[in-house]
This record gives sequence, structure tokens and C-alpha cells, in this order.
Amino acid sequence: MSVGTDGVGLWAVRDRVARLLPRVIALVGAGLLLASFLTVLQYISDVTGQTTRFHLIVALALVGATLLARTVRVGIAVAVSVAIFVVGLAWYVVALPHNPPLAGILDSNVKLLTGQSILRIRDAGVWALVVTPTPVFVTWYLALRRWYSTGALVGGVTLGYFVLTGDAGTTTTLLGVVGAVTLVGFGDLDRRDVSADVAGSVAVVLAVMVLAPLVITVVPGGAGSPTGLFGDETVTMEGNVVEAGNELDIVGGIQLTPDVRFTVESEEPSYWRTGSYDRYTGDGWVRSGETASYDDVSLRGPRGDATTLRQRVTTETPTQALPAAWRPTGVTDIETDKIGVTAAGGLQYDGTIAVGETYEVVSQVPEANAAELAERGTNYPDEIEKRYTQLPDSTPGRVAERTDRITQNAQNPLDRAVLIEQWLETNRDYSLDIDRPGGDIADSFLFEMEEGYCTYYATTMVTMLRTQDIPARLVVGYTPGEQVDEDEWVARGLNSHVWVEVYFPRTGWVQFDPTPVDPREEAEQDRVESARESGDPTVDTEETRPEGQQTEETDDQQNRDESTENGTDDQQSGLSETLGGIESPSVPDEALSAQDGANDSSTEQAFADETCPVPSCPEVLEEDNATGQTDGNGSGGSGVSGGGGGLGLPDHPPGDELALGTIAVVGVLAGLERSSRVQRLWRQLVLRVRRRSDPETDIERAHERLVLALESRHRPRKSGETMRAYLDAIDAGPRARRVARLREQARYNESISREQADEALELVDSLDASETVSDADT
Amino acid sequence: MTNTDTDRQDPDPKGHDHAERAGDDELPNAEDISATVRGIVENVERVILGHREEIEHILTALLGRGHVLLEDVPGVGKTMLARAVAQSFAGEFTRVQFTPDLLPSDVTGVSVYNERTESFEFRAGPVFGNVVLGDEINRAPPKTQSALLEAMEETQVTVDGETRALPDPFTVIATQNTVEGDRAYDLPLAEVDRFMKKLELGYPTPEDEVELLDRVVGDHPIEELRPVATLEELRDARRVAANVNAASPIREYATRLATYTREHAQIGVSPRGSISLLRAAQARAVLDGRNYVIPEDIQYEAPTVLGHRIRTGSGDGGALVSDALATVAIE
Repeated sequence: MSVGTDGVGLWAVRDRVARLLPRVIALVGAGLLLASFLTVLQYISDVTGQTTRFHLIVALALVGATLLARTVRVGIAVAVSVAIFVVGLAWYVVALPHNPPLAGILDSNVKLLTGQSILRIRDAGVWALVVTPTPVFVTWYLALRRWYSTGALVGGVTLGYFVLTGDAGTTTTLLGVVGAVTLVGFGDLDRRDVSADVAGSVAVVLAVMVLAPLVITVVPGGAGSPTGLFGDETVTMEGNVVEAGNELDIVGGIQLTPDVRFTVESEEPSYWRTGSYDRYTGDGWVRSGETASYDDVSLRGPRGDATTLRQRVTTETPTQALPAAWRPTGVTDIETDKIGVTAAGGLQYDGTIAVGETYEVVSQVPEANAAELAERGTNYPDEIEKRYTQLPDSTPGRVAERTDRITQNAQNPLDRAVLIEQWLETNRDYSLDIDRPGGDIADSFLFEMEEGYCTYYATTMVTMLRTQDIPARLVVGYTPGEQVDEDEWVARGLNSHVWVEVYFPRTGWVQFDPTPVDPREEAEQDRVESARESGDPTVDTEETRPEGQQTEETDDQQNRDESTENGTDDQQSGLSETLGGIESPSVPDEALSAQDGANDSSTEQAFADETCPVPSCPEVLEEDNATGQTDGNGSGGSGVSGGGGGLGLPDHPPGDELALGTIAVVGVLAGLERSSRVQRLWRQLVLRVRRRSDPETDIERAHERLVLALESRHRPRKSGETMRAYLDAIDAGPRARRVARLREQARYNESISREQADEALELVDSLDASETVSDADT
Repeated sequence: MTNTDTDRQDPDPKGHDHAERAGDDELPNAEDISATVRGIVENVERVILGHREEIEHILTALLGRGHVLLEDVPGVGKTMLARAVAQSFAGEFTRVQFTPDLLPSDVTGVSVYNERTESFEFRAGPVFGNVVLGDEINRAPPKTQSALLEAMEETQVTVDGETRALPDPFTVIATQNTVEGDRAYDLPLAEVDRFMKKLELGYPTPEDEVELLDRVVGDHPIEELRPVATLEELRDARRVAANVNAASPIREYATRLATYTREHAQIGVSPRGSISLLRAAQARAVLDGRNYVIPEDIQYEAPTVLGHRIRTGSGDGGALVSDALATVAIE
């Protein structure tokens, strides 16, 4: 009586599953679509420290959509969520600290849509929180209501927005598009109740979508290379750092460019900075806030003591950078309407400065000594503290723990900065040839890597400082370069550099450089010499050419040598006081030289060694306000990067790639499924490759292989055709019959021995080898 | 009508059913049984020409504890076939000619008062035989038909309040006359369902018929037919058949076939039909010398076992069975 009611039940269940499947897959597609733009929003909220609230909002939106999908009509639900969206945006605009005019908001939105990252918005975190709930709710709600196409539209528009802002990377976008197509395709199958054949077609289409971009150049003459899901190219330090624009991507191995970039006539050498970054994303840097036009802003010097430094810069190659010492207050002899001033007070040039142009930059270089800085305290302006101590929520806690340990004896922020700087200098080796780590850069550099270059040193130092709630930012530019005359320096591409600025109340931004100097300069010098040997004419100017110039050494080296010789005693003692007995040789030199340098005839000392606390302006805050209100029309100046570095935002979580990979594989399999011949080959291969297991499984595999082999040589076995009948019909040979008999016994008599299973496998192997089944046998 | 001299089996309440439980004491193996059964088939073939398949069908029904419905025109040897089968294993052959005035007690037997012993004694009816031929069953009124059908189902009869077991083996071969439809009580579906198989003999080929005529000159060969097996051997064979392994893929296959007919006909195969199919397949496996059922057994048995249980619009269950066999996948 047990004659198979369970069989009937099984069929019913299978049938049900088959009917539900398109809907389930469609909802998975909706999930992928949601995941794609939520990845972006999650990234933004992580960087801006809003992760908890963000997760809460997403969860609320999803749960709400799931609950309301059963009860509330579509019209009402969509209307309410759109209303929430509008109210949220209105609140956001009102809540903006600077309350910009509507035109400004529209303008900045246009800029966002032309490729500016959301992270460039000052309050990107709040923005993300306001924007998130509506598309999530509507997309999921519509998908659950079987309004698949409309849901895909809403999700697609949201994703499209992030694609235009450049926040959605290739993989994320692809994932979202595949999700949308899955949603529409399988949603349609669900609504029409179509056969599984069509589902296979949809799967194939999806796979093509994933695989095609890998082999086809998307924009002819554009990027010029296939869209790669995986991997990075090697870039130059200069392209990666100085020309990065508003978004600095941290890469792995990097090269130095020996070409001469510009000559500076200045009384003092300085780090010629070209920009700074405030927002750390864990794997890169973003400059948030608007860039104002130079003509609309009055640049002020630092509030505290400062020396005026005049620099005459002559370009040696076309450039987009306006290198200047901190803090620039005026530019002359150049079209000033093309100059932009970033929210942080740095200069940018919108366009290219031709070769041989000479312009003059006046900077007010702040002054302060170590003792003064040590007393500055931690009474930071709110705006500075909020903006420059923000770390991604995903920053591992051990970074703060190790920083705590390193700085446990420090009394004040200066001590901490110095200790961190020294620790990095002494404990990490300099190398340009490294692999980019996954995950948080600072964390990797602190705990996993043994060597790196300036970007890694500086990024890590800023992160460590921020864990101590000390405002710090990343600065890019050029080191002084090679000194060719008493007041003249030549900067090459390889002088491009990344360092750190730390904020001190009443003094402003003070420069620190955690990168060890010697190995960096060796690397630079090696590069210059190898370029000279290969006869590269762009390596030298008239002045730097070895024949005409005695000094083989770079200015930096000279500086260092001199400064070590000239180390001043009083500063040394001052420092050891501040640091409470901790040995810290370098910092006091610098603080001192910054103070005394103006009077010193050997100006090189100002750039002695690593750190160079150049006091900077306290007015940063005011300027921020000014630029925030300005209708900035300088479209991000150097945002157009040339070197192939800094494209888009840094990487996507590997989950995206996994999902896309899975879709590709599924689709390819579905495609293979369509081609019975390929399928058969594939299954034969799989069966052959699979290892032996228990006799029951092996005999089934042997049998399956036999049938596949016979079917490919004769005709397919019909549905209701018994194996014996089939073998008779195709006049199969004794080996095939023996395998069939063994399998029959195994399956229907439920008795099979190891030997019999092996025999079957060997028989099938021999059949495969002989390539003919009936012929060889009969 | 004959064979009165054979050793009539006393009704044995224990021995005749649920032979599965007897699997412990040594059963002959399937191959020996196969030889025995094939011997019987060949023996019967000496009398019945050109019907080897039908003879095998009858023997599978015998081994599978089923009964056979023969539907045919008169005079093609139905009676001879049944008798030859019984005689081949020394079983008792009885025959009931169903007529419109036949009473149930004419089938089952009556209690008769014996004046000498001053007590009622039971005089067994023709149903107490190893092979019972119910001739032209459709000519008897339903009440009498059902007396036979109950005996088939329960392998026992109740007369005057006393239940008596039927001999083991017990197989009914009923014939149904198709030519005189107007004077017949056609068996309802519920009763047809109780037959494991329905067969049609059909006319012999001309060559076979010539041979047949040749043989009946002189003594009819049935008179010389000798048993080639014993009743005990046949009982063993039935026990072996009952113990044939039907693995779960087989049971599922049988179920799927039945399900298919239910989905495609007004009335499909009943669970009793599925059981019959499985038992027939077990018997078929034994006939083939195997102790496990394979899909071929199911396929071979399905037309005769399932066909008569199906009611379709066009009335032809056989075509639907063919469809089912061609469509339902074998796993």
C-alpha cells in the first residue's frame, strides 16, 4: 500500500516550486538592484560615520514595504513615500549650515550629475540618510506588488543617478543593471506564467550582459580599454597624487616621472602644495565642498604670525597645478578668472598653463615654535573638528588601539603628532613597488604592510591622528625640488609628494611629513639618473644639467645634511620638555627652523628633514563659509586628471563581483543547456572528472555516461523507453549491456558491490576510448 | 469435467495467504521457479497453440495472486486453456457455467442434511478449486456474479454463517462473451477492477489452426496432459513472487503511470490497479528468473493489468496505457 503516495506529493511540490521560481528570482533581481545603489549609499554613510542610522533606515524601509505591500494600494504608498522624500530633502536643504541659495543647490546638483562624487557634498552623510528610504521602499514595494517594471524603473533611476555622479563603480552598476533586467525579465515570466525555456533565455541574456563588457570596449576612443572588473593599472605618482583632482584614489605600485615640471624662484624653499583632502573613505580621499572662483573670494593670510613668501613659478611643461607654499594669499601675472579656491583654501587652476608661463604667488607662511604649538590645546572650532576628525565607521578599532599605545606618553596634540610621525618613519620602509592592500589603507599599513610610499604614510598618519580626535588632513604637492641657485628650485614630476597637515588652534594647519626622507630621495635620484642615462631631454633644465652644475645631489639632501649638522640646541631641549622625556629628535628642529629660518642665511634649513610645521591660517573656517556660499563656477579645476589615476571612486566590495560572477556562470550554463551537444560534452567531462565515491553513486554516473555516449552516437533515449528496449533498438554491444545490467541491479535490486561499480566505470571508460559503442562491441 | 481424483486440498487457514511472512524458511530461488513455470507454459502449449503470451499472462496472474478475465468470442479454447493450466501443476480444475438462472449456492456450495449422521454437511461448490473457470460470467445475474467475485477478493466463502477458506492456490479465470451483448449482464467497472488482468485470446493463425485440427484427430491431447509441477511447487512460486524486490524507483514509476491515467481519463487506474500492476510485475520478474522488478516488467504487464480499469471518452483504455508508457519517464 505504500506504493507511492509520496511520489505524488513530490510532484506536487516540484510543480509548485517551478511556478514560484520566476517570482523568487525576480525578487532576487530586485534585491540585486537594491544592493547596487545601497552599496553606494552604504559606502557614503560609512565614510561619513552614519552607518548605524543608515542601516536602521534601510531596514525600516524594507520592512515597511513588505508589510504595506499586502495592505496599502500602490497609489497611496508611492505618494506617501514621495512626499517623505520631498519633505526630507526640504529639511536637508534648510538644515544645511550655510543655507545656500536655491540656484546654488541646483547648480551643485548639475555638477553631481556630471561626475562629481556624492562624497564631495559637505553633508553627504545626512544627504544619504534623506535620500535612502524612498527608492528602497518604492522599489521593494512595487516588486512585491508585482509591478516589476515600475519597480525596476525606480531602482534604475536611483542607480542611474549614482552612475552619473560616478559613485557607482563598474561592477556595482553592472550588478544593478543585471538586477533590474532580472527583475523585469523574471517578473514578466511570473506574470505570464511562461515555460522554463524562456527563463533560460533570460539567464543567457544576463550572462551576456555581464560578460560582454569584459571583451568589448564600451566607448570607442574613450577609455580605450575593455571595462575590467578586476585589476588596476600602474600609474605615476604625479598622476595619482597631484593630478588626482577632487578624488584621490590610493593605488598600489607606482612610478616616478623624471620630467621637469616647473622652476620656482623663492627666498625660501617650501613644500609646494597643490591641494588637500579632508574626507577619508578608507581606500581613498575626497575633497568635499565647493570650489569658489578666485575673483569672488578674498584670500587672507593666517591670523597669527606669518612671513610673506613670494614665489615666481615658471612652468616647464604644460600643467594644471598651481603649486604654492601654504598659505597662498594672492596670484598675479596669470588669468585669475581661471583660478579656483577650494573650501580648504587651496588654489586650483581650471585649464592648462602653457610652457614658459611665469606667474607669482604670494603666500603668508605661518610661524610658530614647538613650545607654542604644544600649548595650543584642543579647543578646535566645531566645523574644523567635525570635518577633519571624521573617519569611516568601518575603520578597524585596532588602529585607535595601536595609536593609543604609541602615544600613551604624550601630553598634547603636538606630542601625539610627533610620536606618530616618528613611529611611522622608523617602523615602515619606503618602497614604490607594493601591492595595494584590500580594506582600509591605514589599517593595512599599520598591521599588514611593511613598506609603502608617501600616500600610505600620510594616509595612515592622518587616520591615526583622527582616532585621537586631532584634526588632520592629507596634502598633496611637490617637495621643493633640486636647488639650482641660491633662490631657485627645479621641481620634477618625481618630486610629487603627499604629506600631512595638523590643525592647531590659533595657528592653523601645521605641516608634518611621516615619510622617511632618505629612501624617498634615493628613489627620486635613481630615477633622475636613469632618465639621464637613457637620454631623456625633459629630465633637465639648463640649470640642472650635471655638466653645467656641480651639485649632483638634490636640494633636499643638502638640506638634510646641513640641518643635521646645524641642529640647534635650544630647540632640542624645548622639545624634550614637551614630550616628557620621549626621544624625538626631529620635531624640534623643524618647529625651530620654521621660527628662525627667516633670519637664517642658510634657508635650506626651513626644510630640514621630515616635519616642517609651517604655521597656517586660522581663517580657514571663515573661508569655508565664504566659499560655501559662493556660487562656485570653477568646475573643480584639476578634476580632469590626466594620468589615468583617480578614476571614479575606489573599489567595490568583492560581493558585487561574486554576484556578477555567479550570474555569468548561471547564464553560461543556461546557454550550454540550450546546446545539447555542448551540454552533453560538458556533462561527460563533469562525470569523468568527478571522483569516485560510493558504489551507488558511481554506478549511476557510469550509467549516465553510457547513456550520454550512446545518445551522442545513436539517438536520444525516449522518455518512456526502458534501457533494455533502448539498447535493443540501437543494437548496443555487450559492454554497454553489461553496464546497463549492473546499473539495473544497483537501482532496482538495490545491491551493488564496489567491484561491480568499478567494473562499470572501467567499461564506460573503455567505451569512451573506443569512440564507438556498438561497432567495437558487436 | 474432471480431475475429481486429484487430492483436494483441505482448506488451510494459515497456508494460503500472506506468504511474505514465510520468507524465512528456505525459498527456492527465482531461477528455479522460472524453470518450473516455463515448464508449465510449455506443457500448456502442447494443448493450446499460438497463445504463448496469453499462457504466460495467466501464469503471472496465478503467481501474483490475481484472477484473469478472458474476453472473447466462443470457441477459441478458453476452457481448454484454463483446464490445461490446472492440469499442468496437478491442481484441481472446476468449472462453473454461468446462466441467467444460476444461484449463488450453485457456485459456493450448500449444506445438505445427512440423515445417517443426523447432521448438516457441507457440499462444496465448484468455487473450491485451484483453477476455477467461470464461463460466460456476464450471463449470470449480478447476485450470482458477486458470489464469485467475493470469493475472488477474499479467498474464502461464507455459507450458512460458516466461513470456509478456499484452496491455495486459487485462481479464477472468468470468460466474458462479447457476441451476445443483449442477453448479458455486463460486469460493472468495480467488479472488473477485481481481475488482475483482462486478456483476449483471438483466433489462431491459419497455420496454428491447421496444426490444431491435426492434433484433435484421435484423442484430444488434454486427456494425455501430465502434470509437470506439484501444487507445493506452485505455492513456493507464489511466495517467491510475493518476495520479489520492488525498489522505490519501481514503485514510483508504477504510481506515476497510474497518476497519468487518472489525469487523462474519466476514470483512471485505482490504487488496487497499482497494486495489481506491481504484483504482476513481481510475477513477471520471477518468470524471467529475477528476484527484483525492473521497469521492463512494469511495461510488459501494464497493458493487460491497467487497460480494463480505465474509462475514457472513446472507451479505449489500451491506447491510454500506451500513451502513459511512452510518456512517463523511467528513472
